[in-house]
Amino acid sequence: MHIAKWRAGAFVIFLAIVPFLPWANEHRDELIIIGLFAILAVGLTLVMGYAGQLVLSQAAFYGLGAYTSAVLTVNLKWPPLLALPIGMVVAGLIAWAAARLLFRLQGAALALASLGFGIVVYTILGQWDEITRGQQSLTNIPKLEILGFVFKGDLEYYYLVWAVVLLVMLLSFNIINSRVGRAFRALRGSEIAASALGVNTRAYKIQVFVLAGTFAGLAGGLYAHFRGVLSPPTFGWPVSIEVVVMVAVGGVASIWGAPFGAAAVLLITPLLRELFRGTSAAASGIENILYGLALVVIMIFLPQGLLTGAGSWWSYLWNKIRGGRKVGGSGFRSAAADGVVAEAAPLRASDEMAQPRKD
Amino acid sequence: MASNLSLELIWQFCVYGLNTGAVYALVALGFVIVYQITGFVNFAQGEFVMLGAMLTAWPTSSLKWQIWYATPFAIIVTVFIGLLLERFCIRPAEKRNANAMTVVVITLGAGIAIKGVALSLWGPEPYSLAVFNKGSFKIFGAVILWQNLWQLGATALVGGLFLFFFTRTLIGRAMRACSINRYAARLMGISPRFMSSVAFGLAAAIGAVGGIVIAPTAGGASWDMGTRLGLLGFVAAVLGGWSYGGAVAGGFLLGVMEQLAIGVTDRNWSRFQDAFAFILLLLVLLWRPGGLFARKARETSRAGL
Repeated sequence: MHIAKWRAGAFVIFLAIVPFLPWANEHRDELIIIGLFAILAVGLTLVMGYAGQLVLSQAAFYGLGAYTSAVLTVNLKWPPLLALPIGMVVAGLIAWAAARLLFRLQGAALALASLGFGIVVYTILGQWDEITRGQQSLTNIPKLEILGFVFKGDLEYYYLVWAVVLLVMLLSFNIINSRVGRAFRALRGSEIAASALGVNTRAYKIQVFVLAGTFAGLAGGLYAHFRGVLSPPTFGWPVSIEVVVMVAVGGVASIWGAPFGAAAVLLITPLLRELFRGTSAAASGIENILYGLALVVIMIFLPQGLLTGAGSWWSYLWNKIRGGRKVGGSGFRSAAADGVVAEAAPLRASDEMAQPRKD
Repeated sequence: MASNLSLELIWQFCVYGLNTGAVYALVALGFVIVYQITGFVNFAQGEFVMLGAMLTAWPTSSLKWQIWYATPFAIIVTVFIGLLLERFCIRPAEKRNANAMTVVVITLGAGIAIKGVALSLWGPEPYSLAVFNKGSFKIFGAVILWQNLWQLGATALVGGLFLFFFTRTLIGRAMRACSINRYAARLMGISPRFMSSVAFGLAAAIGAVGGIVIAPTAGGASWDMGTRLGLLGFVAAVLGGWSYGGAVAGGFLLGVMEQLAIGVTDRNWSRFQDAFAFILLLLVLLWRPGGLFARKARETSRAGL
């Protein structure tokens, strides 16, 4: 566990100094948004990377948490500190109800049904003007206040959000290193084998989905009290897909990868914008092209994500330098950071049956 | 419920629904063929629809091309792009034994890139495409545009060609073998790689046809039209249980239900219309998790999505 502790410490120190770094000190609200998406991505990592289910509904729970907390504080004048956990609970409860229905499905049908669920939630949030004020957007959401301390500035909020990210990551690490986590990994390897070994696959899938939904609800509440304004497109279905992309880019079975994936995806757009300096259609088209191609290239050459991929290259090089023999075969598949399942495991046992070739 | 709802009006909405449904069916067929042969869901399928529409609308309005040679041009270019997608995005991933989620992200990325190309080449404004034949006629009181017949006809034609292709031609039968069991098909001398190229080519062609016939009545062709149509085509494919016939039926069902739901509800409910297709999807999947026309569960090549 030495390396893990060292790495965690380095990560915390890095987070502490980031808001003072040259470019970042002018973009603190982007850092906050990255933190919120890191929470969404950690939740989805548990569902996708550990339980092996592709779901496209994170944005819906993000929106439910945000709107519950906002409506309670704006319409009913509840204190934010009380409304925020209620938002989490509401998101979690709806996730539980949705999961009970959705997890009758598998594979592509599950992915699409969860996307459809997200679209239904989004449409309700956007059109139910009486409560959410839909298209006019909900304004004047109060700032978060804890024991008389109001989180007004970006810097305080940055530390709050990233502290929550660390908590969520810690909780997730504890889960995946427990008995439940081993069940998840069995589930991902092969659902049939796992259930043959006595793992109640459906119950585990529902639990992990509810956990991810609750995380998303928390992130949503934090977003609402940070921005002070909510409008529905923030929670539309493309956002769910973006979270999937973050998880994939960070490394699908890596909790460490989630914040990196969120940062990579959210920073690539402003970065490309700096490069092209233009708001014309052509410029934003080129942005899209580069973003799309980057995804394709990353997924082809580093299918375990940027972080794990970079880690395996690093350990490959390190072994070269020390003159040791190569670890594993190709350098792509040799990563073995602790707590990280590195092999690109097939989704089902039948995958390997169907693809024995290597020609 | 609107009070002035007559049978005639319902019939008219059904006709509208059949027309949009015909296009959903075409898009769904593109999803199904790729899924059947390769086991992957191609999230860039909607962009083939957009390319078909754009590549017809742009030369006819800017270069004054005639529709009869703009259409084959659009289909051929789209097929070419479909083959490129398979060759440079899917095949390298397959070589590295990528799992289905990785491929989902790859096709998403490719779709975003294709959209980006369209946006930078043609800009954000939609290009209008004239209807192929002007005018309309009535069947039992419902107005039908001649363009609508083109839409229905394209679906019927593609459906017929599919039937012929998969039952009567060698390559079609080889593809079916491939979708039943890749490994066994390979042992029989069929190249799954070649079949996957053919699948992507066909999917691109069908998508392009769908885009070309819908553009005139859908307010023209624009760079982002593929997202919505792709999504609804995906819904139709899942509704139909990933079979060819099911996809067509699912497309028509989706189109008709969507139009009826919009038609019979008043403002209080119709504002939720974007959710109707998905509520239908969720209800059907809860009732029959494998889709409406799912036959007995069968192992396809890489069916874990």
